[in-house]
Amino acid sequence: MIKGEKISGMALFLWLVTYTLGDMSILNPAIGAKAYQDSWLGFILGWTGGFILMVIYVSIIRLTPSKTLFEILKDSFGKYIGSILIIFYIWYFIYNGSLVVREFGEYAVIVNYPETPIVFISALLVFMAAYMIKSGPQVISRVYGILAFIFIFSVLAITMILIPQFDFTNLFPFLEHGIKPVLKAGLNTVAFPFGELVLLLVIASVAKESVNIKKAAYSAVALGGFLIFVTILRDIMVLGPGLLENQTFPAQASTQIIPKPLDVSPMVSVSLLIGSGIETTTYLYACTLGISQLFNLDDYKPFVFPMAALMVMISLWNFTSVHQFFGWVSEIYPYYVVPFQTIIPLIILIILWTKKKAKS
Amino acid sequence: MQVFGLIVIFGLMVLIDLPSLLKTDSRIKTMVIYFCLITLGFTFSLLYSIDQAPPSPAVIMERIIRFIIPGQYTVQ
Repeated sequence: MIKGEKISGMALFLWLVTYTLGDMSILNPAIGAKAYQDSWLGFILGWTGGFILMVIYVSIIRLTPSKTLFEILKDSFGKYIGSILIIFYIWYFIYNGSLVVREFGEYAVIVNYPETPIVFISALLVFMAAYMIKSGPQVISRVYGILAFIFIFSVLAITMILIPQFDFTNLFPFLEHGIKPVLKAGLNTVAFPFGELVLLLVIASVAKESVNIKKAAYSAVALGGFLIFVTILRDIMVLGPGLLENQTFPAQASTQIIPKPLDVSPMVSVSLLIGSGIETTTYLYACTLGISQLFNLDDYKPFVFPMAALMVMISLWNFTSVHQFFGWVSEIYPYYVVPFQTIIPLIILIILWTKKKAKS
Repeated sequence: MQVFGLIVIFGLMVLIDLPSLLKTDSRIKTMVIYFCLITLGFTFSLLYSIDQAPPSPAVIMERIIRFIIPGQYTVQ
């Protein structure tokens, strides 16, 4: 159980919305599956899958209130298997964090700062996150509680400005490439961004006991999902399916279509900074908390800087180019995360239900 | 030059963390874990900076997943 000041339901909701939106403000989760104009349909399938996953996570939280994922793992699987699974989850969190850092670094270098080394940009993002984590989860929730509004405003404002460029015919013909790419797009969407909400099992323990976690979590998936859906539809209608599938950053490409002198591309960068910031902060918080709970230590703060350094290093070491990065994320990532996002939480839920039945 | 930079960065991190490390309840346990993580980070950063890094996690994971689900390799 985490000691210290707890956060409110609203703060948890805003944290989750910002986290769900994350880097989705510049990416299309359905891209890479070759669903083209039907990627919005793939997203809806994935969104539905996201709600199903959320049912699993919320059920676990209701059965083990005030406990973190790491404590639940030890309770459910015992000391040894539980500890091994904790190590796997620490890896999952630090690795996912490194992917976010790499993506942010690539975007910043390609779009904003072509002369700046990526290591400098990545290190700035991670050490800003580390500083916030050292101040505690309450500070994280307050910072992103404010920034969430700027983030949502940016996404909606860009969409509104782009309305004159919408071409509804870009959404047709319907299912031109069959159902298979749509299903693959759906699988990608479940893994990224909705499956990433497995982190709720870590951060829910910092919420006040009176908080209705169920309400905060489902509302966050609904609002976050809706905003991503809006950006996907916007990018399809503005760019068209062919151009959309070939863009590394569709949102950035969409804003470039707006006639001059209006330039809203800095808003895309700001929303990515907020989105990547919350994701990096939450992953770094989760993995440092995991380290401290693995070794039964009271304080996670001493491990923030070493884990931050590891995160930056993994982000650089992993891929040699942005194309490798996006290829890996769309082809390998949806399979790699299945155990962490679906299988292990499902087993935990079955174990908790069995234990509860045996007790009653 | 890069190696010197790494020593300075990791040294600074230890210096910043040292006061809080000395205040923790289980000081020895915390310090052992802390310095293990620092050593791990420093070693990999050093190997990466001198172009001697082992295969990246992405390569290893792709090989494992491609063993189960065949397909084109994205990272070599």
